Parts: sequence; structure tokens; C-alpha cells
Amino acid sequence: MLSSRKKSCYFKRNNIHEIDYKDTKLLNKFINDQGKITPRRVTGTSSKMHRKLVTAIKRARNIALLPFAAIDRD
Amino acid sequence: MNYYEILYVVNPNHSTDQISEIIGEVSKHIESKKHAVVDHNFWEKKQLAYPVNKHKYGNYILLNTEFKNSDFVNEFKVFLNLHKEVLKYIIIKLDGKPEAPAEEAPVEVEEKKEEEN
Repeated sequence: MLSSRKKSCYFKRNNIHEIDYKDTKLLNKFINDQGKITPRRVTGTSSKMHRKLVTAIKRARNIALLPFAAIDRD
Repeated sequence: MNYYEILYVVNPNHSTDQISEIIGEVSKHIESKKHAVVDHNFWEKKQLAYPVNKHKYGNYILLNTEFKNSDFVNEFKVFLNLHKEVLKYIIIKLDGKPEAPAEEAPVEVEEKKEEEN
């Protein structure tokens, strides 16, 4: 049987309304080893917060806080 | 009047004195054009996610400003581009007045509410 556990939005659970691009600890939860943004269907983030998350991650990448691509990460 | 948050990276080999010198220089440039500096501080020395000008580390400086007219943003970009020590920068327009840095209270650990289904 496939488990049908409903995923819930991380931000809603923790009562976060704004995402700061400088908060790499938080943003790191939503990128994979390659540095790609995890899709919404995996994380269960609400669409409103996912949009904010994407802008925050892209800003962080721009200022070298997060990688664009991390190929040689151990 | 618009508020902007500017984060820029300077050479990692600089000492704290040299960094405060750069901070003073940038503040002076803004204030000479009669714009206001709300907050301007050294943030952190961090490892860069990817090398920038062959540097592996960077000194991050956070600047909160209030520009009277949005035209100054372009002017300021030119200033940062020409500045030798600035490796990278990002300018973000804020919706309202930035919060004081001291207001960043420690995140309250919320008790996990486990709902029994």
C-alpha cells in the first residue's frame, strides 16, 4: 500500500511569512546536493511561499551565498 | 523616498581596519549626495559558494539606505562597479522601513503540536 501522508507547508507550520535571502540555513533545506531547488511536489510548500522561496534562493545565488551548481561537493 | 538593502562582498584578505575604511568610504559617497545611511555594518566573513575573482572567501557588508530618488540606484551601481575592493553586490528595494538589526530576536522554539488523528 502506498502511504498517503499529506505533506504540509514548512513555512505555515513554523509561522514564517517572509523569507530572507541571507538565511542560508533555512534555504539549504530546500535545495538538493546539486544546488537545485526542490520541487513543490516533494517539499509540500504552499504555492505562495514557494514563489517567495524561489526569489530568495535566486538572490542568495547571485551574491554567492548559495551555489548555482555544486558538482564537486563531497 | 525608497529604502534599499545592499549586500556587498569585499576582498577577504582585508583586516577589520581596512574594512571599516571601505565602509566609511561608501557611507561618505552616499551622504555626499544627501541620501541617508540607515545602517551600515560588517556582516560576516563567509566561504563563497563559488569562486569570485579567484577568491574562496569574502567579507560581507550589509548596508541599509534611504535614497531620495530612484535615479541614484544606477549611479550607486556605477560607483560599486568601479570600486576596486567590491567583488559582488546585490541591491534590493524594500517595501518599508528596514527593521533595526537588534530586533532580530532569537527564533522562538515553537512547541510541536502533535495532532492525534
